[in-house]
Amino acid sequence: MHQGVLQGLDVDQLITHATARYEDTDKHREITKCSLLKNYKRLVRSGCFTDENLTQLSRGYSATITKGRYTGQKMEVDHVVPKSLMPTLAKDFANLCYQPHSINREKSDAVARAQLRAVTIFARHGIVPYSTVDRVRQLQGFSVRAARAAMPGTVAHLKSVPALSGFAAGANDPRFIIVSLGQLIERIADWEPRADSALSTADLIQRQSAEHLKRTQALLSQAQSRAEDDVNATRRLETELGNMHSRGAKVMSRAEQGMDSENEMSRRSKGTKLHWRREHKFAEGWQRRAEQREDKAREQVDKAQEALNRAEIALSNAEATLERARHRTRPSGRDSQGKTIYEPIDTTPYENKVREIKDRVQRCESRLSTTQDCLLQATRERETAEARVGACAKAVQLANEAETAATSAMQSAQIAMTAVERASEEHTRAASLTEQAGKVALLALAAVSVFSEHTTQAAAFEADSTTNLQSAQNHHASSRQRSTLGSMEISWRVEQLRAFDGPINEF
Amino acid sequence: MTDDQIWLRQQHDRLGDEVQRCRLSFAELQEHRKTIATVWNDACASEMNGRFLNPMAEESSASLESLRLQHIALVNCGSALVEAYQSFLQASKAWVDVQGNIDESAAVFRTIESFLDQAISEMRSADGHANRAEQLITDAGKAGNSAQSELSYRG
Repeated sequence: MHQGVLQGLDVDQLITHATARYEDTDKHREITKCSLLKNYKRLVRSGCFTDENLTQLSRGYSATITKGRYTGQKMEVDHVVPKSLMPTLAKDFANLCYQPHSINREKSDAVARAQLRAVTIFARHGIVPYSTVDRVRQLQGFSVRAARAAMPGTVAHLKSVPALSGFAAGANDPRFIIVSLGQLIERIADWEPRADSALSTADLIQRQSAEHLKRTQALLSQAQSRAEDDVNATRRLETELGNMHSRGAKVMSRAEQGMDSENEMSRRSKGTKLHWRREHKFAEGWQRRAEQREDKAREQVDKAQEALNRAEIALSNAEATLERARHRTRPSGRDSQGKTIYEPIDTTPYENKVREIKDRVQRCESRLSTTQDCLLQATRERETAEARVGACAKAVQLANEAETAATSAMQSAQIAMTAVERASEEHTRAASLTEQAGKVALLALAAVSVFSEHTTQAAAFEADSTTNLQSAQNHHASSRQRSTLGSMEISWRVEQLRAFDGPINEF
Repeated sequence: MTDDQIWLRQQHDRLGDEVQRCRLSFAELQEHRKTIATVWNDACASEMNGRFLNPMAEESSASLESLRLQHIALVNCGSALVEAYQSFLQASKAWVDVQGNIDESAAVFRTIESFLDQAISEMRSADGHANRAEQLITDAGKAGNSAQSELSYRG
């Protein structure tokens, strides 16, 4: 048909010529012609006669819509009255209608007012028995919304009836009313799915927004938790910083005391060392003097001993002389016999001499005793001095060790002091970091607060939009009810008009 | 803006476009009603208008107005969510800084602990040395004084 049009043929005549070969009634051929003409115009409007689509169609495939709201979808052949309902009309051109893929899927084999109307028309023109109308009426109501999608094609048949063309306009003229109401029904039928689609889109986007809001609220919950955690963490840092400060202060105090103590200990150890060095020096002098005194005393003892020895020898000699003197006599006269009378010599001088020497021995002995005492004392003093020297040397050695230990203590105290000072420096740094962390955590908390405010606003807007959507759905449901009933009523009245009006009744 | 937010905004724009198209379609329908009113103004027309078409127009108009308000609310909701997310990003950046400060503070605290432990250890060591020095001083005194039976030696 399209090839014929491209070659300049009139499509109307072409269809008339084509349908004339069918062994049908005139009514049936007319309906078939209207259907074909309408479908052809629909294909043209949908841009289904591109080169690519013509190739597809020549191979028996569906054309792709290139114009209008269903662009990109396949243009499929649909049965106005489902094949499952009327198998005899499955291949009847009058019952075929081009529909976009989505509309065809949505309609499926549903039975609605459009189907009832089409079957009524078919029955009226003897194409199907009237019993079919009753059967369709019983089935009507299933998938009404989907079935209404097929309305445009069906109603278009009515509008395109040639008998209606060429009438003059006039108020309440049934012919114009029929055409106008057909157009009205078509526009309502066009408006309804559009409104349905808008409501459906609104509902979908509402749910998507709600989901987005829900995710944001979950994020907010996490953010609030995180912000509180951070604030608590910075507070713990501050507490820990305080504890660290206290501990540092205690350690610092103890280190300072330790420094003082170790300084004092160092001073004492040095003093002790000096003291015992001095004492050692004194002890050595004492020892030397004691040794000299001992030597001198020993010399005196030797001298006294020699004097005593000499005195004792002299005494011995004097006593021997005295003894010999006691045995010596001297003539003192003659006795009567004339003998010489001898008498002992006077020994007094000898005795005096002995006495004198004895006194001398005694003096020597006394002298010896005195010098021996002196020697003994000197020896004791020398020994004491030696012991003192040894003790002082030991004390000096211990004092040296004490000084070394005090030096080590001082060094340790200095290391401790240095460590404490470095800890103090680090504490200052930690205080700065903690303060910074606290400030930033508060900034984060403020940001989360703003986050919360915006989320609350978003929730309010979402609730508002939900309310508006519900309102829109309620109004739309009411509108749909009115439009459905109105369309049915108007269609019925159009049918009545058609039945009443002769020229139109040929349909 | 995140990909999700961009996508949501596109969805809002899509809804706005669809509502707008719907409004135009509705306006065309109403215009058509006005047009056919010139040829269809009998009692039947009054009845149909009164029973169905006028209520349908009112309800549809109300529905479209609600959809328009819903669209505005959704756009506002989307804007609020974008601003909320900006605040979240600010908070996230701050958290990174906070965490950095906390980690660094914790490291410094460990350093401080280490220094204080070292100081305490050195102080104990110093005390030990000092006690030993004290004992040695005492021992030196005892040792030195043990042989000091008389003091006259100094002369």
